[in-house]
Amino acid sequence: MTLFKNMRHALLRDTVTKLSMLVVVLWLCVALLPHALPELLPLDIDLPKTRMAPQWNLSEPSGWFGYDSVGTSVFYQVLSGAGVSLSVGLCTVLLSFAIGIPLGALAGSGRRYFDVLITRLMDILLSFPPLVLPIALTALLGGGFLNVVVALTVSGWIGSAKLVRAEFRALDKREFVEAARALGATPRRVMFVHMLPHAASSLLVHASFSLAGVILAEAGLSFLGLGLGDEHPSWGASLSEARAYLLESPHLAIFPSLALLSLVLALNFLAESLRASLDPKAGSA
Amino acid sequence: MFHFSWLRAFVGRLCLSFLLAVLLLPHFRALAAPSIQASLAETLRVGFETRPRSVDPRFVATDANSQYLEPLLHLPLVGFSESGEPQEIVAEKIQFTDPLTVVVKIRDGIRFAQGRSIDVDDVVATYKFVCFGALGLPPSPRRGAFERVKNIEKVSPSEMRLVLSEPDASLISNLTVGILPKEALSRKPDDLVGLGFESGPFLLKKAADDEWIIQRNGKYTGAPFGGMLPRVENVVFKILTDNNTRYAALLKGEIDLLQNSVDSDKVVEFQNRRAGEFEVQLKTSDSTAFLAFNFRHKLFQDVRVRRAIALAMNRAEILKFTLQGLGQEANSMFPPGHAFHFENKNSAEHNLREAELLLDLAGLKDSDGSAGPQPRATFNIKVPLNRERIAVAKAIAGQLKKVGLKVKVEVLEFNTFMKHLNNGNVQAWIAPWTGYKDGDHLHFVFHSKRTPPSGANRGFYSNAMLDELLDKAKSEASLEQRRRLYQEAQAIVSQELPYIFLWHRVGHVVHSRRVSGFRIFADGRYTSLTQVQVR
Repeated sequence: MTLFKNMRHALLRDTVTKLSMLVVVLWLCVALLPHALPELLPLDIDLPKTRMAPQWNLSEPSGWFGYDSVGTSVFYQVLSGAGVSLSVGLCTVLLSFAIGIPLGALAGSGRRYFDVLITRLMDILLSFPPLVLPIALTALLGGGFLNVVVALTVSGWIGSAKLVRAEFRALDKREFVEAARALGATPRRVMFVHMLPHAASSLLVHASFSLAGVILAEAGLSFLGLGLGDEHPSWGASLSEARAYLLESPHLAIFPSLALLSLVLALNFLAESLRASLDPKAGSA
Repeated sequence: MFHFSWLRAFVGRLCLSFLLAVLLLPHFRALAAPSIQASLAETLRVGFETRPRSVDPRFVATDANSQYLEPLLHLPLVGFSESGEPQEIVAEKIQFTDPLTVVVKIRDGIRFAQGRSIDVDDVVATYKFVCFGALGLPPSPRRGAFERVKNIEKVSPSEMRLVLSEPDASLISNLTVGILPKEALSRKPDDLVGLGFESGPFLLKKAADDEWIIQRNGKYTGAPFGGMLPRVENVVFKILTDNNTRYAALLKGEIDLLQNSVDSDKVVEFQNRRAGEFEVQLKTSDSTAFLAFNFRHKLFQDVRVRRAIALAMNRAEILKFTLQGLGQEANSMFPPGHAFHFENKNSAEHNLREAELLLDLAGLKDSDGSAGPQPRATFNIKVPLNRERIAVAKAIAGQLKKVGLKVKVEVLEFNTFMKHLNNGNVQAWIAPWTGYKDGDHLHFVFHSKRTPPSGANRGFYSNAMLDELLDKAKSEASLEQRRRLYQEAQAIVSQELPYIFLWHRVGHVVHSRRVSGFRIFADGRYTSLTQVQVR
C-alpha cells in the first residue's frame, strides 16, 4: 500500500508531473484508437494530395498535419504511430522484466556460479554499443512486431537484472530475510515473497525510464528501415521518409518528431518524479 | 649498471624510430604513388545506385550498370548506333552466307591494353566460352542468347564462322560480348583486374563494394574507327544505394554526375532552382517499367484477376504525382518510335467498377465491401530499396485497396531482390527493362524455355502459341515478317497480361557545371564518358 501511496504522491507532486501524466494518458488513449475504431484513422493513399502542406480546417482533421509523399494523412499516421510505439515499448519492457528479474534474482541469490555466469553474460552484452545488437538481430531476423520486441529485449533485460541483483545482494543479510530463513522459508519464497517487493519501487522507476528508451530505440530501428514494416505506421519510419523533403515539406518531419518528443519527455519526467518519491535516498519526497 | 645505459637509450631510440617509420610509411607511399585523387580536374565522379554485379564479359548478367561498363572496358564484335542499329566494332564485316552460317571478319589493329592485337582465336575462344562453357568454371549467364549456335570455328587468320542449328535473326544484335584474350578465359570469374585484358577506352583499376574506378587506356586503338581516347584520366563510380545520399553527394560536390538515379521531384528541383550550378539533360529512354506476376502463385493464374488489377490501377495519376510527369504511360514493351513498338488497342483503362466485376467473376467476392476490413485476396509486391519505386508500389497498393485487394509492399536490398526474382521467391514485383534493342527481347522475357538462369521469364509464364510466334520470329530473316510476328506476340501479351506495363520513363542526367561533354542516350549507356571534360 505504501508503494501505491508513494506513487500517487509522486504523480501529483507538481505541475510538470501532472502535465506529463496527462500526456502519457492521452497517448495511451490514442494508441487504443486504431484497435477500437480502425475506421477513425484511415491511412488511405490519395495521390493528388501528395506532400500537401497542413491545412487548419476543423471539418477535415486529415489535413491538419499535411500529407506525405503518397498523399496519406500525416495526422492519422502520427496517431496510429502511437499504438506501434507504445505496444512495442510495453511488450519489450514486460518481456525484459520477465527475463531480467529471475536472472537478476538468481545472480543475487548468493550462489557464486550463477552470479559469475549471469554477470559475465551481462558484461558481454553490455560491451556492444546500445543499438548495435538490435540492429544486427532485426537485419538477421527481418522486421515485424515479434522480431523487433525480441531484438530490443536481448539487451533490454540487463538493466532490470542488474537492479534486482544489486537489491538482493543488499537485502541478503537483512534481519527480516534472516528471520524468514530461520522460520524455514524456501530460497525461492525468500527471494520472490520477501525480497522482491523491496525492489519493486526501483523496478517501477526503471520501467518508466526503459519505456522511454525502448520507444526511442524502436523509432531508431524504423528510421533505419528495420522496424515493423510498411503496414504498421511508425514515427521512426515517418521521419525516415521525411529526410528527403526536409526543406520543401518540413511538416513531414515536424509532427512525428513532436509526437516522439512529447511521449519520451513525458515518460522521463514521470520516471524522474517516481524516482524522487520512491527512492528513500533522494529525500526530496 | 651505468655502462648499459647507452645501450638502453640506443634500443629505445631504435624502437621509437621504427614506430615512427611504421606510422609514416603509408603517407610517404601515398605521396610517391600516383593518386587517383591527385587531380580533381582529371577525375570524373559518377554516382551509381547499385554495384555492378560483374564486368567480366563472360559473366555480365542482366543488371544495367554491368552492361553499361562492359563496352567501356572490353570492345565487342558489335555495338549499337544511337538509333539502335547494330554497328561493327571489333568485327569488320558480318555476313550470313546461308541462313545457318555467319562469317565474321575481324578488324585488324585493335589491341588489348597488354599490347597484343585481338585476333580471331581470341574471338573464337571468348564465344566458345559463352556458348559452351569451360570445365571448372560456372556457365555464362549469356548462353541463352546463343542457344542456336551449334559450332564456332576459325576459318582463316582473320575470319571465324558461327554455325547455327536453326536460323537466328537476332544473332547479330547479340554479338555484344566483350572480347577477352584467350589466355584470360581460364581465369576465375572477375579475376581480370590489372592484367591488361581490356581493349576499350578504359581500364578497370578497382572494383570494390563502395566504389569502382576505371582509368584511361593510353593504348586504346579504337579512335580510328569512331572511338575516342578519353579526355579524363579517371572515372570513379561511387556506389550510393540511398536516394538521399546520392542527392546530397551531388549537391555537396562529392560526385559530379548522376544518370537516371535522382528522384523525379529532385530532377524538377535541379531544373528549376539549381540551374546555375547543375545542368539537366532529359531524353525519352528505352525503358519500360512493369508490374509482373509469378504464375506459380495460384491467384495470378486467372487472367481475370490480372486484368482486374490492371483496371484498378490509375497509372496516369501515379505518373503525374509520384514521377512528376517524367514519363509516358506504357501499353506494350517497346516505346513509340521503337522498331518493334506495338500499339495496344486493348489497353486496360482505369475502371474500378469493371475491376470489381472481374474479381467477382474470378470467385474473389468482397463480403464486407471495399471499405470493410476483409480483403478479397492478399498478395505482396516486392521492390528493391529505391524510394521512388517504393512510393510507386505503395501507390499501387493504395489503388488496389479500393477494389478490395490487400497488397503488402516488401522492400529488399537490390541483390537480395534479384536473388528472390531468380529463385521464383516472389508473388509480384515492380522493375524496369532498359536498353533493349531487338524484338527478341520478348523471347528473353516471355518464352517458356527462358526461365532463370537461361533467361528472364521470372514469372514462369507459359503460352504455347506465344512460344511458337517468338520462335518463328527468331528464325525469320525478313525484318517485315519479324515485325508482324512480334506484333502478334505482343497482342497475346496484351490479352494475357503476364506483365502490366506501367510507363516509359524520361531518362535524365544531372551533372555539375564543372562537367562538359556528357551526352544522354536513350538506352542509358555511358559511352560519352570518353568525351567528358572536367574543369
